[in-house]
Amino acid sequence: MHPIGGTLPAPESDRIAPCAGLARCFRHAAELTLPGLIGLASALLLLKDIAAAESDYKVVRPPTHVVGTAVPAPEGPVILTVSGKILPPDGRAEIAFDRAGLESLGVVSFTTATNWTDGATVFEGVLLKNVLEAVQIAPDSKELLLTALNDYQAVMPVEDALDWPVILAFKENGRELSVRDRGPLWVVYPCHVNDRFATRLYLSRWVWQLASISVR
Amino acid sequence: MGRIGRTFPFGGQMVWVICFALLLVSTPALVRDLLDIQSATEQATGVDYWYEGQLNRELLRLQVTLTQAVNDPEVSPETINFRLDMVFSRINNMPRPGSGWNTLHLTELQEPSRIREYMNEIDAALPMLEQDRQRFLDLALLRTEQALAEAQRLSFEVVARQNAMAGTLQKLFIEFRYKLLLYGAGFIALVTGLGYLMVSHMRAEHALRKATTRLVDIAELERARDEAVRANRVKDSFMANVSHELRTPLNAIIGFSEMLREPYCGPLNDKQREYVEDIHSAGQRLLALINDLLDLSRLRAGKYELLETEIDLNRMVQSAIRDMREAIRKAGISVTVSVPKQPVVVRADARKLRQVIDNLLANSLKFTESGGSARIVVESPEDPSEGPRIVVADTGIGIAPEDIPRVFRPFEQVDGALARKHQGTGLGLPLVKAFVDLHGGTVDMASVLGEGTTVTVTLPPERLMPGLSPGDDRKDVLPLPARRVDEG
Repeated sequence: MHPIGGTLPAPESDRIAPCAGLARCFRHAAELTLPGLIGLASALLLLKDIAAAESDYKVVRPPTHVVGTAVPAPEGPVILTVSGKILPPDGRAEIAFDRAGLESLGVVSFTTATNWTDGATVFEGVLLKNVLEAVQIAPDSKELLLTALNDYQAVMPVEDALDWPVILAFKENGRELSVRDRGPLWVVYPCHVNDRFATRLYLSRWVWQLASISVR
Repeated sequence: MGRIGRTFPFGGQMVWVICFALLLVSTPALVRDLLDIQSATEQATGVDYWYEGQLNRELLRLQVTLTQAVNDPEVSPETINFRLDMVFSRINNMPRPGSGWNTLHLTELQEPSRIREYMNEIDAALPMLEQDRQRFLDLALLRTEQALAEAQRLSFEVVARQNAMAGTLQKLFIEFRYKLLLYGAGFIALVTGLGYLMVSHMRAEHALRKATTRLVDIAELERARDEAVRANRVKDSFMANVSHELRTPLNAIIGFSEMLREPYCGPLNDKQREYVEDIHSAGQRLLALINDLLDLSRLRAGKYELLETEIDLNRMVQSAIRDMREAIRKAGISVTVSVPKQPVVVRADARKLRQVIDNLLANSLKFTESGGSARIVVESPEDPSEGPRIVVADTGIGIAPEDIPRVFRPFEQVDGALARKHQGTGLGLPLVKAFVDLHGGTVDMASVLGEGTTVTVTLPPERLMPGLSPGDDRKDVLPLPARRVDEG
C-alpha cells in the first residue's frame, strides 16, 4: 500500500505555534497551580489544627500548681485518682485529686455541641493534658485506661490528651455535674475544633462519671 | 456518520442517546438507594439497647445492695444512695430525643418514666433509712422489683424495635440487590453500546483510510500518465525536428553524388563511379527512411491533412510498377498487374496512396525469394456499398497469423534476422495502415507461412467517383505486363 497511508503529516506551521514557548509556560503554570493550591489548603488546615490546641478554649483560672512540684494530698472528697506509669516528684504510685487539687491545675472552658446535649453547651473543667503533666506520666506512655463509677472502662490514646484540649468537665452550662447527671467528671472532647470527635471511634472515650485514670 | 448508517442497522447517535439515558436515570436512583441504606444502617446500629442494658444493670446492682443491707447493717446509707444515684444517672441520661443515638425512641416509652417514679419514691423515702431501716428496705426492694419488671418490658420492646429495624434494612438490601442487577445489566448495555460504537468507528476509519490510499494511488497514476504523454509528445516533436534537419544535408549528398555520377564534372573511372553509385543509393535509402520517420511523426502529432484529388488507380498502379522496374529486375521476381478496363477514379491524396502502393510492392519484393512472383490487382466492385480495392499478393516467406497485428506497429519486423537481411526500418506497413486509415479505408493481411502473403487495401465506397460504371471486362495484361521482366 501507499507508504503515507491515510494520515498525512501535519503542516509545519501547525506543529510549531508562533508562541509555543508562552503557551507551554501557561500550561505549566496551570499544571502547577492546582497541586499548589491543594498543598496550600492542606497546610492551612494542618496549621489550623495545630493552632486550635491553643486557642479553642478560654482560660477561666490559670493554673496555680507548678509543673514539677508534688501535687498536694487531697483534703476534701477524692473525685479522681491517677495511677500506672506516672513519675510524680514525690514518688507516689497513685495520685488522688479532690476538687481543689484539680482546679489548681487551671480551669478552662469551651462551647461545643455534643451527642448528648441540645445545641451548643458550655463546658468548664481541667485540661486532661495538665493532669497528665502534673502527675508526670512516663515518656513511653501510650494510653489511658479511663474507669467510670459504674465500672465502665474505655481506652484513650495519650495523644488525644496531649494534642487536643480534651477536658475533664465538672460544669455544664454553669451547673455542677452531679453523679445523677454525668458528674462529677466528664471527659469532653473539643467537637467544635474537629468533627471527628463526634464519630463512633471517639464517642466511647467520652467517659462520664469518670473516677480513675490508669496510665499505660 | 453516513457510512456507519449504511454499515449498521442503527446510527451511532441512537446508541449514544440510549447509553446516556440509562446512565442518567440509573445512577441517581442507585445513589439515593445507597443513601437510604446508609441511614438505615446507622439507625439499626443505634445504641438504645446499650442504655437499656445499663439501666437494667444498675437496677440489679441496687437490688443486690438493698438485699445485702437487709442482712448486713454495715451497708451504709451512702452506699445505697450511691447506687440510687447510679440508677438515676441512667434514667436521666437516656439518649436525647432527636439525636443519632435515639433511634428506637426509648424516651417516648412509658417504662422509663415509671421506673423514674419508683426511684423517686425510694429517693423520697431515704430519710426513713435512719429511723426505720427495715421498712425502708421493704419499700425500696418492692419498688426496685417493680422497676425491674418495667425494665424487662423495656428490654422486650427494644429487641422488638431493633428487629423491626433490622428487617427494614434487610428489605432495603434485597430491593437494592435487584436494582443492582438491573444496574449491572444497564452497565453491560452501556459497555456493549460503546463497544459497538467503537467498532463502527474503527470500520469507518478503516474505510476512510482505504479510500484515501486509493485516491493517492489514482493521483499517482494520473501523474505518471501525464508524464508519459508529455514525454511521448517531446519524443515525437524531437523526431520530427531531427528528421527535418537530417534531410537538409542529405539533399546535398544525394544531389552532389548525382552530379558526380553524370559526367558534368568530368569522367570518372570505374572504381570512382561504383563508389559514387554507392553513396547515391545509400543516400536514397536514408532519405526514404527519414521521410518515413517524418510521416510517422506527423501522423503521431496528428498534423496530417489529406490533399485530395481525383486519381485513377489503374494509372497509379502502373506508374508504380514502372518506377520500380529496376528493383523488380534486381529481385528476379515476375510481377503481374490486373486492372479493370475502365479507369477506377477515386478521391484521395495522391502522394499517400502512391506511397501505400510503393510500400506494399517494396515489401513483396523484399520478402519474396528470387524466382517467385507477385501480383497486383485493382478491383472496382459491382456492389456500390463496397469500395474499390488494391490487392498485392506474393509468394514470399509469409507471416504467421499471430504476428500479423504486430507488423502494423512501428519499428516491428517479425523476425530480427530477416530485418538484418532485408534492411528496413519496419515503418512500411505501419505507414500503409496509417495512410489508409486517414482515408477511412481498411488494410487486411492474409498469409500462410512459407507460401505467400496477400494484402488487401479497401477504400471506402464514397471515395469512388460516380459516373464511371464498373467494368467487368478486365485488361488482364496491360502494356506493363508485357514488360514483365524476368531477367533474374
